[in-house]
Amino acid sequence: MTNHTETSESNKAGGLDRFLVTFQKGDIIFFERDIEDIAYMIKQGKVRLIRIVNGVEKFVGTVSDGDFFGEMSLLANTARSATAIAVEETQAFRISKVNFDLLVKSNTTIATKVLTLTAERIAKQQRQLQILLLHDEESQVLDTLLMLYEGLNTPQKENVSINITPYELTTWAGVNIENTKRILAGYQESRRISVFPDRIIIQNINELERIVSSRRKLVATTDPAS
Amino acid sequence: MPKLLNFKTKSVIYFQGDRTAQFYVLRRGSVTLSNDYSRQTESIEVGNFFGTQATLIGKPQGDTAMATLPSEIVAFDYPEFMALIQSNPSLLSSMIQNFITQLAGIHQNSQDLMNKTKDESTSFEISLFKNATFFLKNRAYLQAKQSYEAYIQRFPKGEFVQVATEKLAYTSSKLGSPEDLSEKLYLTLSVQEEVTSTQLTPMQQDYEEVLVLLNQKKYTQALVKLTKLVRMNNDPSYESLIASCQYLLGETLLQTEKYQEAIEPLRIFTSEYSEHEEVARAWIYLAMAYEKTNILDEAHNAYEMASKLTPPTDPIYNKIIQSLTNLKKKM
Repeated sequence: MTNHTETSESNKAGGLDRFLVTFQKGDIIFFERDIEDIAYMIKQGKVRLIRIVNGVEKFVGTVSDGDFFGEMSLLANTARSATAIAVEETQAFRISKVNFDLLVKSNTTIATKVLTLTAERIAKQQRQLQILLLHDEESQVLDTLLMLYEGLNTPQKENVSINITPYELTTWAGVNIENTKRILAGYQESRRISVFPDRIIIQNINELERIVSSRRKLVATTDPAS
Repeated sequence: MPKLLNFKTKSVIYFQGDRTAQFYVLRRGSVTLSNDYSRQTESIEVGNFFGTQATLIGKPQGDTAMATLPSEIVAFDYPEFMALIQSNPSLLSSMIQNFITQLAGIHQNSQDLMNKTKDESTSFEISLFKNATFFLKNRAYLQAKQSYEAYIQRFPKGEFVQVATEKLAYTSSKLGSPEDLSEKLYLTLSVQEEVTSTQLTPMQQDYEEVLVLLNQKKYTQALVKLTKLVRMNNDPSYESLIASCQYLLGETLLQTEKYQEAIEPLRIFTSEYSEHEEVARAWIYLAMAYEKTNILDEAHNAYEMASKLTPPTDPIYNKIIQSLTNLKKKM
């Protein structure tokens, strides 16, 4: 049984090598809104996914060795949701719809990995959607800080430093730079946060959570449309 | 062995925010998912898994699951679930499909929300051209070049093919030049894992105080501190802090009508920190300072620089062009 699995797996890897493509550092692998049913699995390298919304870059994520990307176009028949850029020389398997189905059905290890990865992406996207559902820019900026804090996975609740510039914050929150700075300045003045060129320090996470969650409840009770 | 659980009407299987260790399948009855951030609810069909995504990655549930009829639910623990899907490729495959559909739905939802205010065209042609322009504006010449090439190849009769051809030649000529940020932009990853309990350095403390002073419009005090900070320009690790100070110093001097004095910090800022996000605005300030001190040639150059760095879609752009026209009348 074990032998059989091993053989079929190594065959698959051998077969997959036909689909190996190489991207140079900085290369664009695919463009947002393009329509093509190709997914990629990275053999070695790193790829950054970005979206450009109203002239502002929104960071979607970074994927590396063993990760899939572009599978949404493949399986949900949607246009590319992001632009993919190789941040270093990257070798990846270029997988068509037919090959993807074969791979998933014949290799449960890879399929389970795809399932878990997709679950993680759903969680991330859902979290970002919560930010967009807030009605005012102030809550959106604060909630973005909270989301970044959650990503740190730390029990620390006070004096937490998040390495992000105000500009990068705009790429997450989707709020323009002037308004982001104005909002941050207000909180800085009341000493709840400290803003530096390269990071933001939050004095008290619990307080931030209280502010955002009260605004969230307000939105849910006042907006029948959402 | 998977467990069979019974729920009465209106009893909760898990709450939003709960961490669940089990995978649930609705065997009989009816279950609805809801959450506190939207009014949307979802009904689970008999035979389907629910709450799987959060359990799988050990994250809190995003919804509350409630039985709306007397219901029977089968609960699998992690090893049982793994054994089930690994031995059942078509179940696994349909779960992947299901997750991806869900992901695409959330994505569409965010897309709609982000485009609600501005009527962004959704065609690939326009999107590709806009992205190319974005890369060009940010001096990511390699990415701009590839985007223009893709545009020309895919839309040889496209609306912007003429412009794309011109810009392609321009980006190709700029590739690898000192101002090319192709690599810089996309090699700095902005995900941060480090948490540091921090002690502020005296410089950072000063900077923080400046921001507070400016916010309170206490310009004189802010100027004193800023002047001190920009003179401490000897530690390379504070480069971005110093850059921000030069910019703030110029801006504040301009606001307090000290036009002559504003020129120097703004000149330093625009020449030394040409990659800074505020550089276009700094050129405008510099132009204003020159104009007020009657150095009209320099003012003209500075406005020109500002117009090159500002996308025509930016509301500021028209103001720059207007200033240029007014300036030409004076010259």
